[in-house]
Amino acid sequence: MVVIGVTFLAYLLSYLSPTDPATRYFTDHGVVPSAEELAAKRHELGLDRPFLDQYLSWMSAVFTGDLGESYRSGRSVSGSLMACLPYTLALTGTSMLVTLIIALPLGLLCAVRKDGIVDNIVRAISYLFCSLPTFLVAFALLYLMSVRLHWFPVRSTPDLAGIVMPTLAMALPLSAWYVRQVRTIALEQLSAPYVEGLRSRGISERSILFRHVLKNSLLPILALVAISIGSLLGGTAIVESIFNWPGVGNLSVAAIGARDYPVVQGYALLMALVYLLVNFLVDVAYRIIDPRIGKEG
Amino acid sequence: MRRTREGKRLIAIAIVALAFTVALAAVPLFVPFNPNATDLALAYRAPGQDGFLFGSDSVGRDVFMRTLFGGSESVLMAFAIVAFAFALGTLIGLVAGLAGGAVDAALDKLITMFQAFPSFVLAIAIAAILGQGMVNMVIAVVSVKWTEFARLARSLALSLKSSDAVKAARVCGAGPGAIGMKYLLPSMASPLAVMAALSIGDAVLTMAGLSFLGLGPGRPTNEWGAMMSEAASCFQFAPWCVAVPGVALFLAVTIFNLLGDALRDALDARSRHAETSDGAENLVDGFPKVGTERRKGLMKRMKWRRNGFAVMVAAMAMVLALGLAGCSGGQQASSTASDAGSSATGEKVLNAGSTAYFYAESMDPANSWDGWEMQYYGITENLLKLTDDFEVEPWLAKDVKNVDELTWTFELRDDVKFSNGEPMTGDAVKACLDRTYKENPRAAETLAIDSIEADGQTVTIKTKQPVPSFKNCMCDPIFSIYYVGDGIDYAADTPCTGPYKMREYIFEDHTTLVPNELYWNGTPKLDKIVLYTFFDSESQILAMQNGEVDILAMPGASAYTTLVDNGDFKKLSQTSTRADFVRFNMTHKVVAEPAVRTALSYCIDRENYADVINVGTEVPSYGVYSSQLPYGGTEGLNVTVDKFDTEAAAKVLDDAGIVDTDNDGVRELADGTPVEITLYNCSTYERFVRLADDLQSKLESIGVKLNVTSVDYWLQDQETYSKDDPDMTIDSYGMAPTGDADYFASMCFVSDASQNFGKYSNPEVDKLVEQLEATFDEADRTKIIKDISQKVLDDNAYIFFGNSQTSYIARDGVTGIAVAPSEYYFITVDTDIA
Repeated sequence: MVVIGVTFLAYLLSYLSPTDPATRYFTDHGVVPSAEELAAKRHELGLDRPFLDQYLSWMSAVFTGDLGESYRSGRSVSGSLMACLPYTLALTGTSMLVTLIIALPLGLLCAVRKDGIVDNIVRAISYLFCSLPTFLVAFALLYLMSVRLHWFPVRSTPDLAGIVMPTLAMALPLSAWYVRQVRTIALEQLSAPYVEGLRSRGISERSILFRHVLKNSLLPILALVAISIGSLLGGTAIVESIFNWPGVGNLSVAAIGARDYPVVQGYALLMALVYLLVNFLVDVAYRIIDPRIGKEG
Repeated sequence: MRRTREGKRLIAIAIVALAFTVALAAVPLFVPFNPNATDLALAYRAPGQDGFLFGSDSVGRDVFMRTLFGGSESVLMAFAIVAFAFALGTLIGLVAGLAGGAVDAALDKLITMFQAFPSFVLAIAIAAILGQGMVNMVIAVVSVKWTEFARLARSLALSLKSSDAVKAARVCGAGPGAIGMKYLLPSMASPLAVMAALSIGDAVLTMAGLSFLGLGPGRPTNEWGAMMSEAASCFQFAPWCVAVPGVALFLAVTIFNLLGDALRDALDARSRHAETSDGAENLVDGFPKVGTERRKGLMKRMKWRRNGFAVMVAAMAMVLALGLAGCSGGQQASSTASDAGSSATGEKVLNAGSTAYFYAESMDPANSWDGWEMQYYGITENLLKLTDDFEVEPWLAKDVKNVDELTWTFELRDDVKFSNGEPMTGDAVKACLDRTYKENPRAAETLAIDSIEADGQTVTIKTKQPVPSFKNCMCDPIFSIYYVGDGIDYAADTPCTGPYKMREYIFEDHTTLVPNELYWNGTPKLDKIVLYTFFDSESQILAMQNGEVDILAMPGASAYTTLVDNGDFKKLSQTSTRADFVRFNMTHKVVAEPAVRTALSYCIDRENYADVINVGTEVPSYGVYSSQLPYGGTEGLNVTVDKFDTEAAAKVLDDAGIVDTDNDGVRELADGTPVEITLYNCSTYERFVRLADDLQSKLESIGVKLNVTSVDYWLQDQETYSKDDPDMTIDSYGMAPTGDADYFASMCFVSDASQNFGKYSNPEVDKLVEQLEATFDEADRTKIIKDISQKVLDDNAYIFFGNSQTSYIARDGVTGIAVAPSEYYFITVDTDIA
């Protein structure tokens, strides 16, 4: 149901786009069409049929993996998107991973040392990164890591070394947000009655923190992951284009400049489907971690 | 509000936020200053210099004032976005919650549908389809933001509906409207307000992101994100252009985040005191329902307890420290160019970068301008070659003879093989030229031929009429020699004769070249050449500094300032025949008015365009052809516009009766049409972006409105005119790459010429060009060219305002690069790297 809604919205986007595919066909071939030619082409492309009719035939094409052709390259939209998708997924994955690696320990540390010096410094840094646009973080990274330190190339190579900088550009601002979230979640757990109970039974603080608090924080953190996959997928557009990482975001940013609407539409649709899939997987993971959830309804 | 600690803090932060907002909103109302007024003579002044508190930008605008005025754009627009999203979301959420049943189910589906998209992706898609502009940007962001409010309002309404108070009201006979207004809305207001406060910062950041992608408000804009992204390429020598709006953006986002947090904490504290209903647990939900209810209350946990101000002060200190580090870093930019020239395996590799010059659309020399690109890359060669003095010398042909005035015979070299091993014979050359004439209309425009005959290693070409510039024309890369035969996929890979051949080609990304082992004229010195296409000037500068590329082809002004001025890299340059020019769409009413075009010409500050915007790499032009050419410059021409003069521009319009009749600041034509001109400008060319900023401001001062739309089509005009129907464009062509004036005239001045996109037409010019093509005598030709120039200048359908150079920035050790005035050659067999 949601999938159908998503395709409908995606179709609506292209339906509203200012370019008429029929006119477009002629200008691409360097021809100025007459009114009759234009009408004939519109008929051939099915543009004179009712909206819903057009949507349904577009839908049936989509189900066979056909998203039309790029205005600019003339290549199949779904083909080019699918070729780029693994890169975007890889970048999203590494960014998520790095975020957790940075934010989990820091968040826990802040919770344990609540209002201490470390807590305040970490939170100040997190405020800084939360308030800066991604592209600025990306340029700052480029300048620091490439020009000053010569650690990484400016043009990302599509391999393990190349993914480091785009990953950092995405993971740093997100980690800033995560640190705060993890801190709050851990604080909530730390103030829960069971922690007092554990303490009174003489369990060490270390054991309380890692065996119990962390474990109980997993569910809310998983929820956090599911949400932030959406913002990561959106963030790839800017980061990929700055680092020239060959993902779908990069492809669509180039398409925006050239007003290549079929590619933009395909991109939006694909991202929504990936997002839905991730959310579905997270739901499944919930049920595995906490079997009670499925039963609630 | 109780006087809790949270309450006091909220009041303090609310006062700061209010003061901040009011101050920014008041700026355009009370500060009599035009932040968009440019002054090229005052570009890139450092903070404190020439009365600029925080420095000036690339076209001499005050960065601090722009940031102040931009605040009303950034922050007020964010307010508008949140207000719309709030109103729409609350309404839909409330209706859904109150109505229940089918209405609720349907609205819930609608919300879910929107939330299924990652929000920035949807914002991009909507903004991309609506196009540039402030209103479109607001629509795009509202479309993704309203769902958050709707989701929260709906869940609040659902939970409040079952509260005792509402039940009691219903028993007493209150209708759904009354319940909604009287009971639900007041209780929902607080959590929704928290979300609104937290959304403002997010909206500012989202707008900045869209601006960066070119989907922001149109120019002129002082929106902070747009200011920062346009200044990114001058970051290293004018860091204040990025830092000032950056700090402002940071302040705004932080203040509103703190406000939201304080508001929530205060409400939390109150609910703890009052032990209110179960609604408290549902506070600020608003995450996609796609997952499960588990996510509820997540944002609620995002608490920022005490020390908010301490944290903020610390963070601000860090921003300033970073900014300072950036400033000081700029001066000592090191050039420890890594040994990119020789890779680990001992291969000799040359890496080259460009934003606009490595742009072959295919590997077919007959397609569009790809022959030119491929000759530039060192893949193709012609029968004849042009020297730097526009003299013709043999290349693939040993000799060329003029048999009679219509017939030319080429004696081909007999030691040349195509990269696929086939010999270059007369038949092969004929097959190649025949195909090119069939595929590309520019071939016939460059040289109208009657027939091509081949006999052994001799090729005879007959022209339809005497062509004085025949030999020069044959140097044009449109006549690149390549292999024609069965089974060749020309677009993918065409065998040619140059020192290098293509090994890998990815459109808009890179082209990898390797030596052609069969090359006839020496041994290529490099094992590999990679030509990278960059999307922005900033990353190619950084790549050069990082040693990833060894040479940049035709870089922009900020590259010279960053890389060459401090002696890190060398500049290779040579005056070319390239002209930057304005092209008017003569079918459009406003610009078809001669006075409008003349006024516009007066408003182009050619001197500062050359000296400031192009840091001296261009020469101002008031004529048609470059003064480097024997027939170019303004000598012997009657020039109307001979200097930058906005008063003269205003007078031209006044005299033509084009005045501002309705006092809206914009003049009108006699029939009342406002003088509003749309310029489509290619954002890839830094110099054109800067010029447009300046021109827009100068035109505004004489009552002409210039709307600038940025596009990044690489082949600019051809595509722009077929897609967008602009009033004018700015473009750049080599006007006489072979030294021959016919070239540009027959391509752009003749009524039905292939590149005459603006439909300029003057029968006298058509006739003169025809005459020129048949005239041999040098003095006669010069006279005809002068006549054509005079008519083109009088008609003013094109304004030629600058002549540029062929130029590269290279690191030491790069040798054998062709720096040709024709811009035909770049990679040669001698190209090497040490």
